[in-house]
Parts: sequence; structure tokens; C-alpha cells
Amino acid sequence: MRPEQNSAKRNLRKGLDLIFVHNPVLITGLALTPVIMGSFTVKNGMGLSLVFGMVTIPVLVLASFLGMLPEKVPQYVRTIACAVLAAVMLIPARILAGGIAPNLFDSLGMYFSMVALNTVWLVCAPSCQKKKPQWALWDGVCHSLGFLVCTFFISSVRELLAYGTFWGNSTVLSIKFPAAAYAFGGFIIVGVAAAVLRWGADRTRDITRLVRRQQKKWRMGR
Amino acid sequence: MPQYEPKAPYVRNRDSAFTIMMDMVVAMLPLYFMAFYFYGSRALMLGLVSTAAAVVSDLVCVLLEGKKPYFRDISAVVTGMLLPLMMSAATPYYVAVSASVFAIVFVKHVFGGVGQCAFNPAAAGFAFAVACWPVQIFSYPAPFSAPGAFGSAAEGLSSGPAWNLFQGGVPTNDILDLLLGKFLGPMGLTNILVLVTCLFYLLFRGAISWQAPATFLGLMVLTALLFPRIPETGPMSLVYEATTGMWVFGGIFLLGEPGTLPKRSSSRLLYGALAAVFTVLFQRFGRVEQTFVFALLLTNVFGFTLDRCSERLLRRLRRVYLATRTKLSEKKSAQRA
Amino acid sequence: MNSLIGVFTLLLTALTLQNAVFSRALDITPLLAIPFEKKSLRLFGLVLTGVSTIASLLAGLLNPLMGSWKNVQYLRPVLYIILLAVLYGIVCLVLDWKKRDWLRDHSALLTAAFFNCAAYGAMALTVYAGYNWLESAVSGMGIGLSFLLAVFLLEQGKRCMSICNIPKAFQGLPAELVYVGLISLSLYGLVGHQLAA
Repeated sequence: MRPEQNSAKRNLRKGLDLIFVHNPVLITGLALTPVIMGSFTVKNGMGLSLVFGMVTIPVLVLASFLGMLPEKVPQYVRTIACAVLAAVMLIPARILAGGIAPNLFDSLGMYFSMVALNTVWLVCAPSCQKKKPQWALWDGVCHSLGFLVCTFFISSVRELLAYGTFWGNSTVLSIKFPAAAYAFGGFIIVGVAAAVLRWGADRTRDITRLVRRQQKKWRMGR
Repeated sequence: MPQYEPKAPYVRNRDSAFTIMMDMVVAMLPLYFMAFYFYGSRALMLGLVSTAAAVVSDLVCVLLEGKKPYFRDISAVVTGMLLPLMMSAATPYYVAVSASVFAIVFVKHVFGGVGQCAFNPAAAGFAFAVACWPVQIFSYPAPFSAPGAFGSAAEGLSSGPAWNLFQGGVPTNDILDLLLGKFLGPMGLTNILVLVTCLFYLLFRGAISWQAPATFLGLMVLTALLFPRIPETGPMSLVYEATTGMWVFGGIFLLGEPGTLPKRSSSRLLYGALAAVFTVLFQRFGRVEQTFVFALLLTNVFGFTLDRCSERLLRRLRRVYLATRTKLSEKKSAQRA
Repeated sequence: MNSLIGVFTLLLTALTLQNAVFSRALDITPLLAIPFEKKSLRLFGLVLTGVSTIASLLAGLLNPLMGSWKNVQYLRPVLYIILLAVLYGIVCLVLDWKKRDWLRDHSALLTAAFFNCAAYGAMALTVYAGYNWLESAVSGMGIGLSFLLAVFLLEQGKRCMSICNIPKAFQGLPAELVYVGLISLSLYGLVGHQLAA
């Protein structure tokens, strides 16, 4: 196997890990504000993930292109370029997100625009400058998918608990916990979800390790 | 001047924890008896259901953590029994159940179980229930109305004198009724005489330390006497505040919880004072009828800090004391020479 | 005198009722997730206070100029973020010129202090609450100070949690999130309930 192929495989796997095992929100703790304050209904959560993807993917790709600039250009100029792109991407994102939840922008207020200042691109942009554009794109897509999975899970739990509905449709749940939609409910639910995901990731790691050891034993036996 | 007090033995030592918890349970029995006297069998049912929920969720959590269940640990029973006492007798059962499940799972076991809770589980459970269902918890049935033990009892409920105080008005209840606990209020803590008896029982048995409740109750009484929040004289304001407020009960049963209490006696005094300050501030500026539990949760954050601060202060004092003593003895020996 | 009392009340409200961390969840990521040292977290708080004060002061000055525009609420976030970027550029230029070493050591901290939810939130709040320039500056400062308060409270919490035997899955971020959630619950007694706004 050539080294380039090897690194490609590693990049692919690293990206896929971002969806569950290294989830940017629940494991690393990035971009918590929109998840805690914004996603208390599934519609809001999906709208926010769309905005997140529309902001993060272009910014990371831009960061990768900025990495090709000569070294003389100071780091802060690149950060400013990324921030301006993130801000500008909010305009098309708002129009598209209106398709999912028409009053998303008005109901979320300032938390909608805070997605543009999420910490994911802030943390990942420096490392993306060393990557090729296609891998920066892959990184952005996987981060967005991780955010999507997390918000879907959290927002559906919160909507079911707080309003007894799912995507605005009523369900069989009759007891409602309005606190799930408040800020403190968000903190606690995100914390518990992070613990559950971490527990699950640990178990999968244990199982894969066990399977590998068994495979090795079989090979040795042969 | 003792540098290190012996660490509170009841925090980790399970046998003495059992006796303390048993004392708490025994002290709550008269409160349940009063609740039964005023509201009939529903009060007892609420207590049973909430306790059962707490015990079951505690067992599930212990098994999930992969530990062996230990049946002499009855702190879950205490938490489960404390919660319904603070609620109205007509509270739906799901409110009591979810409050105790929240208290046990998200407050007790997330931070490591018995004796290591960062927050008081019962207070957090009640605060959670208030955040979710304030109407169900704060609308009370009339005493002797005996709401049915099964099904919902959401008829003929109204707000009590605590609501009047919260709105800045003077309650219209008879003083004797207030002192005997015959008014619209939480099912277990309207009778202040029984509460005070419980306080003396617990102090006498050594189940709670005297420092934190002393400063807390003392400061609260002083504020009610000197700075009444209603247009009334001091003693009248004290009667209203003490009978209708949750802070007397809280100061006895919740504040002295050994897991969250600081370990040094000096910091316990400060802890009680801090709790009183927060309670008064929350009373004056808060937007909830009974604010003691919220103030207690905020005080819990500072328990550990107070311990560290007082330890540092005592160490410094001791250093000064030792230095002066050696200087004095040197002087004396020099004089002798 | 009256305005002084008003300003003081505003500052107290920003610290307790509308604490940026506990009731608005604005600075959660730098507080919990970015691995700052203890000292640099405090420095971050100080820098953040400065940034949010100046940014919301500028926002308060700019708001009257933007008032009559059509569709202004859609463009306002973009303008605010670009304003933050310009401020960041100016500060970095000055530091690059005067104190290059400091900039090199603390560039991640500086970037995080400018481009985070708190600085933007301080600017956005000036619109929602309709503050004038002085009130905006004070509320921005309140947001920064409330972050410092949260840093202090969480330090106590971390110390307390370090001696608890927390279950393995909850260690670190999850337990801290639940801790912050319970402090937020305790402030609920002051606030009453509140949805996103």
C-alpha cells in the first residue's frame, strides 16, 4: 500500500469517527450553545444543523485554500477571512432553513446567528490549513453530520419530554416536563447524553478490541 | 486550637450513617402523622409512592454502576420521604415520582452516590418539580378535606398564605390556626410546633450538627423580626414567615445533610449564614413562592470553598499563635538567663 | 444619580438574573471544553470582558443608524460579525506591531475571545432590549463579568468533583454540564422560566 493511500484511508476513518465516537458536540464539547438553547424542538434542531453545515463546510474549505497562501500572510488575516465568510453564509442559510421551519430565525433570535460563530470552525480551521481541499471538505461534512446526529437526538428527547410532540405531531405521551425546554434542562440532558455516548463508545472499543484479539488467536492457531 | 478536626465519621462510615438516617426517618414520622391527620390517606400514599420510586431508582443506579446493592444505606428512603412533605397533599403522583427519580438519578448518582453529593438531592428534586409543575405543587386542598387516595384530586384547590406573603399582602388567617398548622400549605410542614420538636429530637440524637441550623434559623428569625417584607409589626411578621415559609423545615432537614455540609464547625457557621443571606435575597427578588430550596442549591456550591477558606485562615492564625508563643518563651528564657 | 442606580441595577441583573452562562448558555464551550489552563481561563475572561464591552458599545452606537433600513434584522448579524472581525484585526495589528511575542503565545485565546457567542450575544442583546450606548456598554461588561463569576463557581465545582467518585462515563464534561445545569436550576428561583430570546 502506498503511503498516500494509507493517509487517505486514515483521513476517511478519522472523519467517520466524528459522527459518533468523537462527536464534536457531545464528546469534545464544541458548539454547545446552539444545542442547549436552540434545539428544543426537532424542527429547530434540524434547521440549526442545516445552518451549521452551510456555515462550517465552506469555512473549512476556505481555510484549506488559505493554507496555500505564502507564509508571510499572518494567521489573524486568515481567521478574519474565515469569520467574514461565516457571517456572509448566514444569509443563504437563513433562506434555506426557512424551508424547514419558517419562523426559525424569529423564534431563535440571536441563537440562530450564533451558529456562525460556532467553535468547531474556530478550532478546526488551523488544522484544515494543512489539509488538501477535498479532505477539508470531508472534515466539514463529517463535523456537520456529527452535529446533525447530536441535535436530532437531543432535540427529539427534549421535544418529547417538554411538549409531548414529535415534529409538531402529537404522540401518546401525556405527562409533560416543561423544564426540558428550559436552559437548565438543556444542560442536564446534554450532559446525560454525553455520558451515554461516552459509555457506548467505550463499550464498542472494548468489543472491537476483543474481536481483534480473537482473530489474532485464530490466525496464530492456524 | 485544634488544627484538624476529626473528619465527620458519618460521611463514609456506613453503620453510623444508618443510625443517622434512621433518626431522620423517625423525625419525619410525626410530620407524616400530621399530614395524615389533616389530609387523610392520600398523604401517606404520596409518601409511599415517592419513597418507592426513590428506592427503586437508587437500586437501578447502583446496579448500573456495577456495585453491590447495600441495604443498610437508606438515604434514598430519606430523600423519597422528604420530597412529598414539601408538596401539596393533592399533588398528582407523577409529580412526586419524577421529583424523587430526578433527585436520585441526576443529583445523587451522577456525582458519586451517598455522602458525595455536590448538591442536596431532595432540594434539587423539589426545585425541579417546581420548575416543571408550579401550579400542581403550590395549590393546596383545605385541611380536613381528605382528597381521594386514588386518581387526581384537582378540585377545590387554592393558594395559601405563602402566596399572599409573596405578593406583598398580609395573610388573613387566624394566628392560632397558623401556629397549629390548620391552613392551606404543604402537607407536612405547616405545624411549626412539631417541626421544632423534630429539631430538638435530631439535635439531641446528634443526627444533625447544631452550627448550620443555628446561624441559619437565627438570621432568618432576625430578618423577619427587623425587616418585615409586609406592612406588619416584627413579631407578627415572624409568625407569618415562620409558619408559612419552607425555611424552618429546610433548616432542620435539608441544610444539615452531611454529604453537602462543610466538615469544619467554623465553616458550618458561615455556611448557615450564607444560606440565610441567599434565602432572604431570593425571597425579596425571586419569582417563585417558596425559594428556600433554590437558595440552598446555590449555597451548596460554596460548601467546599468555605471549608478550604476556614482551614487556610485557621492555619494562618495557628502560625501566628505559635510564632508569638515561641517569641514569648524565648524572651522568658532570656530574662531568666 | 438616577442613571447611576439604573446602571448598577443593569450590571447586577446581568450578573445574576441573566447570567450569560447559567441562564443564556453563552460561553459554555470556552468554559468547559477548550483546554485552557486555570490562569489563562481567567485571562480569557478578562479579555472577553473588554471585547464584549467595546463591541456592545459600538453596537449601541450603530443601532440608531441602522434603524430605518428594510430587512435590517437579517443583515444585522452579518454586520455585527464583520464588526467583530474588524475589531479583531485592529487589535491583532497593534499587538503584532508592539508585542509580537505575546500575540504568538496567546493567539488561540485571543481568537476564541473575539469569535464566540458571548461577544456576539452582548451585541445582539442591545437590540432586543433597546439599550442606548451607555446601557449597552454596561450590559456588555456584565456579560463578561458574569463569565468570570461562572469561572469562579466552576472552579469550586471542579475541586468538589475531584474528590467525589463520579461514575466513569460522567467524568469530565458530562458531570460539569450537569453541575452547571443545577446551578442554573438554582437561579431559576430568581428568574422564573425563560425560553430562547
